[in-house]
Amino acid sequence: MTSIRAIRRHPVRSSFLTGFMILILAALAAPLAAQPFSQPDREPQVNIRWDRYHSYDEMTEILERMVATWPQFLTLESIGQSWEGRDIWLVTINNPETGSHDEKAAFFAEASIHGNEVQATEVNLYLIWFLMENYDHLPKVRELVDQRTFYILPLLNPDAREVFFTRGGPSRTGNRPFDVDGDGRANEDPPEDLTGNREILQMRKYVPGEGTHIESPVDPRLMIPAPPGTRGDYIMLGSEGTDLDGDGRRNEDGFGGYDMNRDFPVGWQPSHIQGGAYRYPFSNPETRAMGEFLKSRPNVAATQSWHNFGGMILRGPGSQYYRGTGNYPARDLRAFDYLGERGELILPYYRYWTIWADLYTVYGGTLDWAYDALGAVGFTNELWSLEQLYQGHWQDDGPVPNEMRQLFFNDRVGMGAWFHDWEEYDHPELGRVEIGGWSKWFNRTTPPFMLQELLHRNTMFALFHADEMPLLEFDEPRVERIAGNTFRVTARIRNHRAIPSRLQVAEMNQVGDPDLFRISGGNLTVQAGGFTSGELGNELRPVERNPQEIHVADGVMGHSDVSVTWIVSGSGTATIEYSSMKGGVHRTSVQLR
Amino acid sequence: MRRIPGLNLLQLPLILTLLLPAPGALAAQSAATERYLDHAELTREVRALASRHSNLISVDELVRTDQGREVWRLTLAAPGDRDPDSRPALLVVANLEGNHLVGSNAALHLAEHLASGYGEVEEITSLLDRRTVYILPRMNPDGAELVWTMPEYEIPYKPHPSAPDQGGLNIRELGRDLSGNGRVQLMRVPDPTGSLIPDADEPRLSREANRARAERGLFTLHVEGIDPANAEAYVAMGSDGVNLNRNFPHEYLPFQPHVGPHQVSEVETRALADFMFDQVNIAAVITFSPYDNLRSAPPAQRTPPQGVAPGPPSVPTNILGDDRPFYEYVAERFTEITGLTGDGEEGEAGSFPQYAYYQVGLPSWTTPVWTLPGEGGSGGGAGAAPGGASSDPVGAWAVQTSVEGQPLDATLTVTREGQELSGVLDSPAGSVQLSGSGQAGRFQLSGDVPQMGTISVSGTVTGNDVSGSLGLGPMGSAAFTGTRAGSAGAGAAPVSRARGATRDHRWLAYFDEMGIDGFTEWTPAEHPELGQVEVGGFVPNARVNPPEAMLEDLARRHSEFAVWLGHQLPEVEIEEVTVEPRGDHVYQISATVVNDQYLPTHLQMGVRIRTNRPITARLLPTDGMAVLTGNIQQQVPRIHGMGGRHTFTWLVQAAPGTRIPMELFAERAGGLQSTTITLP
Repeated sequence: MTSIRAIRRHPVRSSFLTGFMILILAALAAPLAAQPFSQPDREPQVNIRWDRYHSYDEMTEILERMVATWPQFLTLESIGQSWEGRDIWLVTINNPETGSHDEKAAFFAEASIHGNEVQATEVNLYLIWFLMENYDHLPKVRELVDQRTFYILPLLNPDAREVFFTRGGPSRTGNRPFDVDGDGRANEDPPEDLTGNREILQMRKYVPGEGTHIESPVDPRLMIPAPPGTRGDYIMLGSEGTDLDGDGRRNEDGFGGYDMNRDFPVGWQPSHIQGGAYRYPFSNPETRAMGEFLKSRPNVAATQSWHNFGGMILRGPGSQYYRGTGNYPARDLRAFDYLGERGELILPYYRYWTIWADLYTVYGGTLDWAYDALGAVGFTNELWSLEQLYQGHWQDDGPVPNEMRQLFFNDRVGMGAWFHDWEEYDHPELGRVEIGGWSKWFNRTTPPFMLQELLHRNTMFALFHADEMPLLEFDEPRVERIAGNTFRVTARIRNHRAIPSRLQVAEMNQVGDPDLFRISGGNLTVQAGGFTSGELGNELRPVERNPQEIHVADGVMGHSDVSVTWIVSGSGTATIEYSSMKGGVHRTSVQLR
Repeated sequence: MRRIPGLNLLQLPLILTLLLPAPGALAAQSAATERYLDHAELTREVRALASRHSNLISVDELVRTDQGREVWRLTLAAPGDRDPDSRPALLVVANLEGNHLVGSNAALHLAEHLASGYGEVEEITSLLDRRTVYILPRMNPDGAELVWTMPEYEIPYKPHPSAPDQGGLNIRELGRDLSGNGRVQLMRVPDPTGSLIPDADEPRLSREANRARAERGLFTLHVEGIDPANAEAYVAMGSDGVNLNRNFPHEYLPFQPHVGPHQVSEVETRALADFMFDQVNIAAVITFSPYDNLRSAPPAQRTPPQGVAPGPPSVPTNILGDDRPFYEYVAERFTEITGLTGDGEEGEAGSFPQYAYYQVGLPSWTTPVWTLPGEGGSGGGAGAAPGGASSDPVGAWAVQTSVEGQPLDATLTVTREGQELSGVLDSPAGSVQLSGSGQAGRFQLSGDVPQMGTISVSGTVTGNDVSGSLGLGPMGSAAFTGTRAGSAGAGAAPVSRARGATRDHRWLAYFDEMGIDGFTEWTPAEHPELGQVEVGGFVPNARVNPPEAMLEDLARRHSEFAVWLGHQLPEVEIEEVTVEPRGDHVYQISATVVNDQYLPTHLQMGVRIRTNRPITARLLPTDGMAVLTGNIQQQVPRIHGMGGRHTFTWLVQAAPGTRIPMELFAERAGGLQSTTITLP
């Protein structure tokens, strides 16, 4: 094998000297490093408001400030540019004192591939900030930062976030010109913010006795269809906007029109089957930058994507056709279930779901690619649901009518901030209309007073996920003389965490290098070797070829171990090595005597 | 039968011997017709061609490879009112497989054929005046270069940047040349546990021993020089050489060797895919690749290749029913024009020709340029022997007829000259030179005889039989029948078509027939680990690229087909705009658009997968104009060829004399066209 990425120094076994250095550094930093989590009466080192949303420029400034504050751990790089030329930032969190970033199992978190899903970026900012603020104070945080690498991509689709902030309206798409209506012109008639309030609201027109809708008797702000057999007083005219190109239709070709979370190679389908797919996998600059980055980081063992909304911890597969079974192989599912089921406890009102079976079919999403092509365990969290706002207290037969649920919370918890009352507007084509409706800051978007809790709980889920990446350690190897210079050597390696050191899928797809158990030494001859078996662990199932280097097809499973036995002849020191792309390289040795 | 006084057929020798002029040698002699070209020479040829014909050819770089070579793009179009990038265009793609060099020669020949024929040959002149031809003569220059740097191997791959060893190929065991003949071929390793024996019918080839028929295996077969014990080593997917023609998304085989780490992973394939989408005037594609849907039309029902990731039933796996007749007709015309038949292989998983049809929605044809000859036809190349039981009229026929009650035996010899047939009718009465056209199953020839007028011969061919009628001008006509010369007693098919023969059997027979050095006999050699072995097998690339002497002929045939196909591209034109006053400043405007070409503006696939935008007609908003019908912009999914029409109608209200601009958008059939309607 030529390309094993070796973890030369195992984090757990980091030398005494390194540990000492860290203590010194921590001691030096302590007077400055107040932190607000365990001591919430103090100011943090980097003050960031977690009750508001940050624009692309503000996010960039925050990243730069954090990197300037914690330069020993953080590096900031641009991995590419968006369609409109904004840098796509990536932060690497790594303690170089304990090894290079690419020698440790790595956690990758990506946010806002859909630019309108604005909480996502904030979670990734919070995750960086939390690890750094608490490194000196919480031992578990220090362990994570020292043992693991974090690659954090806080904003994959900056163009659409900019659209959401400045204008509003649906901006899941990127901003590449896209001819939605197939007339040879792109983006020629998008919805417009006619009232100048940075929102794209709804339009209605009052046409007494000639419309399709009426005001609800419960609350006139609510529009309901006119009862059968009656005429309404209003017609609903869709999103705010005019007929910009004079073709008699409004808003028929707005910004973009594709979905970059349908742009990943595994299970990819063209746009006539999977709406939103672009030309071919990674055919957008943003997703290609992410793909190229991850292809160059084979140490990534776990991935997380942040989306909104609905309160879900999603795992793949994205389609029922995946592998013909619609499910991941059973051995890998144990790790997903372990994390997902506990994630539901960390995240109240979130459900651990399988994308196609519980939500809807997605071809070419990030998760299936991360799993199949990177051999990484990945989740997508759908951040926020209104259940969190209601806190389980809503009663269907309670004092307020059911259909008033959202307006009640708008009025009594939001003080009216989330619903724009209908206001008259002189429309150039439609005459006198009314514009109003739900704000972009409601429903999909977490209200400020609840934002920090959302960021914290989801960060905790991500750190749980990161903590469960494989962590390998040798037991003391055993040597037994059979006769003369012939010995039986048994070595066992343990995985202390839930995620296998190599997923079953990686072996099935032959992605990356396999886990290998090797024995070597000065004058060693390996007579036979294989996995340890027998009730007493004193037998072996010999491998057919090359017993000196045993290929461990499924790696070391979660909370499990793998033991091999060699019959060797020789003397002196034998070195035993276990190498794993995601679990690192570990060595131990025995004396043949 | 009316008699012409003083003339009968027996007098023919006295009054005729017309020789047809030799066919014009249009294609200038160039490297492309003489030899295979490495990147440096291909680059020189491309530049020289472009500078000789700077008014017709522009050259730019589609992309640059990982190793820094340019992938050249030639744009051929005569100067004219319309931008070449908005004229309906034919795209010609060659050399996705790096070792498929013959495709590059054919592609360059086409450029030369078009440029030198412009102004000389009407059908070329009119093509370049109205159409654009994009030519990508070498998609895989890094892979092609291996033919020169590693001549002993047959490698279609692009060396992959992530491959850690063996020059970016990471073929775990490339093998070694044990025999010292400069080639790495196969070796037979004597092995009592081996399952193979020489094929009794063709001992150069091997087959499985049938133990149930008391046969005992004698050897195993491996790449020459490898150590089989190490050949099964693990290779991480995506880290080996990439076959660019397996790297496209339709029926892509994920996590298989030599397909790349994922779909469209390479700079070359990405540039090509983007070009297909960005250059929205491309209306049809020809790929020179090992696959074929021209020598024989693709089957109606096919089974997707093994290993394709399961997908929903809505993924199309066959050419759609409406589209099949176009593939069938164009395949017939291909054989007529080129005289080439054969049984090419279907485009396999992840190939570009499949992508162009199934995911870009364009008519997509592919031919290997040279392959095994099919039944009775020629795989390509001058001198390829006709024979077998095809219905191709080319050949020599012994015919019997009777003229005015007198039996007449004659010999009809038919040859193909490009897209045309020519022939000679030899009889005791004399010899008549004929020319005409034909295809498998039918032909029509005629020639002029002084004082007698036109002699015509039309016939129907069924295998080795021909029947038809002889038109003798004013003398009327006579029926004739005949058989293919030399076919008597030749009931047995040629060896190349013997029952049970594999493709390799047929290749050997063809090589033997043509005298091509394509196979090395098994010869003893010493293997360092295995001892005495036998080394032999097909010569690397012998089944991919023909002998250089055949290049000119093959390339010319394909260029003639490409010219024909270029004339079939769809084009929507505004045929008529009528304005009918309805009083009160109300007018009905009707615009009829027509596609007079052969191909429809969209194949059914293009409509179904919605990659090809509909035909759009719109009036532009004009001061004082109201469109009473509300439909200022109208769309139809497609317009058929051969006179397919659609009429767009608007009812407008505007003052007399109002000038209303109208636009017609047909992205792959003429682009954006404008006109102005003036109300009377």
